Amino acid sequence: MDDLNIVQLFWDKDQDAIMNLAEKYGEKLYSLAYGILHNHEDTEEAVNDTYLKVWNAIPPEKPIYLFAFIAKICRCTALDKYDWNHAKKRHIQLGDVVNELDNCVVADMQNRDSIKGYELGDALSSFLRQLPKQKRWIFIRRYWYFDSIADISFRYGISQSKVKTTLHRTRRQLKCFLESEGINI
Amino acid sequence: MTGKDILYGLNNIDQDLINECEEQGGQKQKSKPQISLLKVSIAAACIFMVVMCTLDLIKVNDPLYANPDKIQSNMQEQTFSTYSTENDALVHISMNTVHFNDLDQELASAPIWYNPEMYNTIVWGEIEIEDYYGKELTLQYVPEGLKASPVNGSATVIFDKEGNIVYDTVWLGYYQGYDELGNPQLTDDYISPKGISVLFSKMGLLNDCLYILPDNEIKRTSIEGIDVIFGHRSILGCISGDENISSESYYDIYVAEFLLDGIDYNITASQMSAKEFVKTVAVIISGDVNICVDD
Repeated sequence: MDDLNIVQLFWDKDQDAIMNLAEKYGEKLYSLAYGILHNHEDTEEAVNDTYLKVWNAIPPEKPIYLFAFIAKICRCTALDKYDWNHAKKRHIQLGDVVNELDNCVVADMQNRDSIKGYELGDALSSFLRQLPKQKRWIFIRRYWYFDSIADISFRYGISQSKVKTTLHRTRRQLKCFLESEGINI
Repeated sequence: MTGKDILYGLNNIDQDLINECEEQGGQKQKSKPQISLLKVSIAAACIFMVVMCTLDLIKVNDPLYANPDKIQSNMQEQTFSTYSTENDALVHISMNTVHFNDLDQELASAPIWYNPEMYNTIVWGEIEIEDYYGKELTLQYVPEGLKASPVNGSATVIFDKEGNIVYDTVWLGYYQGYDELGNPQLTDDYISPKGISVLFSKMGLLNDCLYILPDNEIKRTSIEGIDVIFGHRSILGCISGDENISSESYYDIYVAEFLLDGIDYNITASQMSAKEFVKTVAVIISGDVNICVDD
């Protein structure tokens, strides 16, 4: 079933909507959530919560990009479930990802309050649009999907060293971008 | 703000970016075979040997060596009819303004043996190379049909025991194809690799080019304000004993030397057209691929 029909089922409050959504995107959502939580029970719960949130969100929402819409909800849900206090003990990968992104933060920004999520999201969108496609995809794969370096390397048929180098450069560019934008935080 | 904030901020990036990544950037490919650093080093050494041997041998076998006038006539026979002027190009270069000095031969810098008791050899990856040179060392414009060498992205550099760098040369290769070890494949016509190699060094540790004319008569070509010494030589390809030597038995070697942003460049092209070579050099200098080289 195509995305438009699935969205229509949600609008019609048809119970088959969730079944069709799960059939089409269930595995991808599971994989996304598991990449964050690394725990089957929590992942299962996060994906089910996602379905419920999507059910409540459509309507009034009518997403143009259904997968991006539900994946965003799933990512938020999984991150909310993630226990940051025990991050290092439970799961190294997400800690690595955060450490990598810490390098993008300008020193004098660190002690300030957080920028509003949507403002930062807009800035990050602008930044990502400036990047060549493959760089953009590699960045999103790593920091949005939490893919491992090895997975990204395999996905794009490039060496792991190339992936690391690309990410290193992109993070450096992001740091310059955040500085140049003078984001008000 | 911390990395965690950026991680959460990414929740709010535009959905079309995620959609694009999912739909267009989401196809898994077969991973490339990994080539060990040892193989890569061997490949680099082999490429270097092939080029150097070729240049040494032609001095003995090449009848053009005895008659340098032919080099010029050989060059004049080249035509560039397949190229058209691009009106939107930012930089236009006319081949008439490019002067090729007749190349006697290209020599490697005298090899220096670094006593391991006094020096440390370190292999740099792309990040270290970029940090040292202050920019990404890669070709923005690669002539059609050439592929990046598996050696690219690494360099063997040497430091003294006090941590001072004493050898910083980086090699990049773009050739028509490579064998399993990463060596450039030889063309059937001339039994020689076809492609371009670039040497970079902040310390000036590059190959020495010897020109037929004395140093004070070597002509320079200005590209975007940078003085470039272009060199050319026709090389007799490897032919069997019963073949007649004709102009088609020769292929071209081009070199370009210049200093840009404190980095010495030495570029060598084999079996490429002069126009492609000039464009490759001009893109390196200008940093913009939107360059048109006119006849």
